[in-house]
Amino acid sequence: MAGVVLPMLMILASCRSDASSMRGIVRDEPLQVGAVTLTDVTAEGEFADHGDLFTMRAQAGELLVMYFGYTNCPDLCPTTLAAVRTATKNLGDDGAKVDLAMATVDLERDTPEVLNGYLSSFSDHFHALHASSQDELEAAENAFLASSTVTKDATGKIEVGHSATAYVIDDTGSVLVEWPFGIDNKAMTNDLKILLEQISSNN
Amino acid sequence: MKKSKITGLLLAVVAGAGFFASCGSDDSSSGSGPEITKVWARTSPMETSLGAVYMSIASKDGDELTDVSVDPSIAAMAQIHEMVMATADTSMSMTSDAPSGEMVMQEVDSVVIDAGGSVDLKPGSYHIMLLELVAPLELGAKFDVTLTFSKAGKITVTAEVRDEAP
Ligand SMILES: [Cu+2]
Repeated sequence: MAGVVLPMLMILASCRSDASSMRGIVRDEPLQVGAVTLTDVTAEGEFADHGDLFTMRAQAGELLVMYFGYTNCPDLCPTTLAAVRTATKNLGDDGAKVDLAMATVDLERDTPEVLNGYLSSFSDHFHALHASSQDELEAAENAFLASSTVTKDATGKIEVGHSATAYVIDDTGSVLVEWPFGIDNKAMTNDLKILLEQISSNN
Repeated sequence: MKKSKITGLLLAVVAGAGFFASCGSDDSSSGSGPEITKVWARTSPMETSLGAVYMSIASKDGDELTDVSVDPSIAAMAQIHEMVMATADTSMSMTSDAPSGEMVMQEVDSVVIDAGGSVDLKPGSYHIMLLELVAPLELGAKFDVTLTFSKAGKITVTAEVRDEAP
C-alpha cells in the first residue's frame, strides 16, 4: 500500500501549477547535440529545400523539438507529435519560435515524400530528416542516447522498436529538456513557456 | 538527482494508470455487461493508412475482449495491439543514462478485464489498430467499432475522431 501512496503524492506534486518548475526531464549536464547532422529532405513548409544537411540547433533565439519516429507508428509518434502541435498552438504568437524536426528510424519505408506529408499534419515549420545510411542514423541517435531497431520477420512483416523521447534543443545544440512518452500538451506548454522566457531574458 | 527524477516520473505514470483505472469502476449501474466509455480515434496523419482507436472498458463481473472489427468502408482490418518495452533491451535499467527503452507494438489475442475493474485502451498501452484505412480519419467524424467479449458477446460502440484524448 505504501508503494501506491508515495507515487500518488508525486502525481499530486507534479500536477501543481508552478510556473518555475519544468515538467520534463532536465539533466544536470544537458546533452550536447549541436555537432550532430542528419540528411535533410524537407520539401514542404517554411524550411523546404533549406539544404542537404540539417544541424541539430534551433534558429537563433528559438527552440527546436526533435523526435525520432516513423510514419507507420499509429500510437506513440502521433500522440507525442499531436501534443507538440497543441502545445505550440497554446503559445500563441510565440509558437512561431518552436520548430519541429523528426528523423525517421524506418529508412526503407519512410520515403522523403511520405515523411514530408506526415510532418505537414503536425507543423508548418518542420524539418524532415532521413539519414542516408543506418550508420548516419545511429550516430545521431547515440548523441541523444536514443535507439531504434527495425526487424523483418519471415513473412516480411516489419517491426519497429524505438525510444520515444522528444528533445527540446536551443540554438547552441544544448538539450534543455527531454519529454519521455506520456507527457501531455499542458506539461509541454509549461516547459516551452519557461524556456522561451529564459531565452528572451538572456538576450 | 537526474535518476531520482526519472524514477519518480515512471512511478507516477504507473501509479497514475492504477489511479484512473480505479476511478470509474464503482458507478456502473446498468446491467452486468462491460461499460465502455471515452471511445475515440485519432485523426490519421497524411500519408498513413493506419489508425488507432482508444476507449475505457469497465466490467462488474469481469470479461475478456477477444475480437474487434470495423466496417470495410472504414478500414480493411482491425486488430488488438499493445505497446510493450522491447524485451531484449537493457537500456531501461534505472542505472542507465538512457531515459527510455525501445517500445514495440505487438498484436495480442485478448484483453482481460478483471471483475470490478477496468482497462484503458490508451496511447502507450492497448489500442485497436485499424489497417488499410479507406480514407483518412478526419476530425469530428464518427464510426462504429464492434467489440466481441467472451461473456457479453458483440457490443458496438461509436468512436469520435479527435486530435487528442478526451
Ligand atoms: Cu498498432
